[in-house]
Amino acid sequence: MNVSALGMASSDEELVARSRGGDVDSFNQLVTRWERPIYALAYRVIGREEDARDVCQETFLRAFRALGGFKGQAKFSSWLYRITLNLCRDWIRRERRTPIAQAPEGVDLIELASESAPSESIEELVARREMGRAIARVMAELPDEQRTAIILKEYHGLTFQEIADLLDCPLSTVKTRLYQGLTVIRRQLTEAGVNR
Amino acid sequence: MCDKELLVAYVYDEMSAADRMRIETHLRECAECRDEIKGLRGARVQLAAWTPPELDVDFQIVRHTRGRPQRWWSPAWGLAAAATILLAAAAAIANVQVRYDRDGVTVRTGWARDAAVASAPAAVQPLSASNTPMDAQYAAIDRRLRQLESAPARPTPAAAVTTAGLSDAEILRRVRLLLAQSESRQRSELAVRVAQIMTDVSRQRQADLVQIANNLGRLEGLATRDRVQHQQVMDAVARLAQQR
Repeated sequence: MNVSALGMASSDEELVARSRGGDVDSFNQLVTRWERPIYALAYRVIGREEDARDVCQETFLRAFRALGGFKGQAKFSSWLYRITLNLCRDWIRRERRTPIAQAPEGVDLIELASESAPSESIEELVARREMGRAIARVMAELPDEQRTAIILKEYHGLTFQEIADLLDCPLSTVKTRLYQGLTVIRRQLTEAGVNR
Repeated sequence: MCDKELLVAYVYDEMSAADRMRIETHLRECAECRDEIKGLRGARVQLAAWTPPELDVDFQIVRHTRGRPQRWWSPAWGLAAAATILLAAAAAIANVQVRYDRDGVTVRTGWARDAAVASAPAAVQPLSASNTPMDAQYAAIDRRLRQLESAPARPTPAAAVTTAGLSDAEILRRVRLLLAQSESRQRSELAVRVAQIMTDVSRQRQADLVQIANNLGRLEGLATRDRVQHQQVMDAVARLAQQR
């Protein structure tokens, strides 16, 4: 009996095993499950919506093609993150430029209102949007290694050890990068007058 | 001064119980490290405000009939469709005609036929077999085919053996059948590709419409702001005039 028919979500490992057996639908379930985190990672690393979407799609295509070589020695998500980061690194090298803080200049109040939490006023929402833009600018100026460590820790909840494995660096280096990155962010936001 | 790595581990609550106890003891005595912890936590709170834009990244892997996954949005589809249309158009313009009869295989183009039926010989020079390089090549091919047909019989490959004993009419019928099947297959493929192109165009159009709507809204907002500012200036001028 199909597990999903019973309403029980299959684990990544189960879906990977079925995908390796040629079940494309199982792989598409993995795509559905992970496309947004992967897109978010790519967007925050390279800062461009369209390019981040391309990186996201390329990540899954590469993963699908290389599925036979994935032996499950790491988590599937870690494997995807690695592919994504490699593609982002290629993008930065190819474009020969640092990530940019791309954010729409105009503020659409109707669009904003639809995003607001029930307890959040439009003014608070606008302030949050402004803060997000300031964060994006500061993050874009961080060195790649600090930015990547912060993104993986803050937005993807990886442990120090998982980040160290992904970035092929010692655990202590990860902590140092996080410390330095957070310190710079704090200082620059204060200087920009957007510190709360 | 406290160990920075330990501070970070404390901020992210990713440390052993012994280390936590050690740093908490230290923090009770060290105001500088307390400030540091407060600053790092503040930066973390601010980082939460950075959210990526919502983007429709909904796509699926589709297994191609040849086994290799491809993007459905690949420009290759567009190029293939364009090439097919171009070939079809070229064939229509050139009026290509492939015929198999007692004289063998004949390939003719509309230019030759039009020339043959032209009713104004003064304006259009009838094409003879050697008038153009193309016709010369056709003539050469024709000569070569006749040579081959008149050559003594030799052992034939397996594929050819299957046609032995068939009448010309039967061969012609089979060739026509194959051509019809091929044409039908190409029409189906073209329809699929055109549908994909239409989907692409539709998606792009929707995205453009959203962009246009956003821009219009933005312009409207600017105009409203200008109007309000203008009104404020006029009010101020009126107040000043009244005061005087």
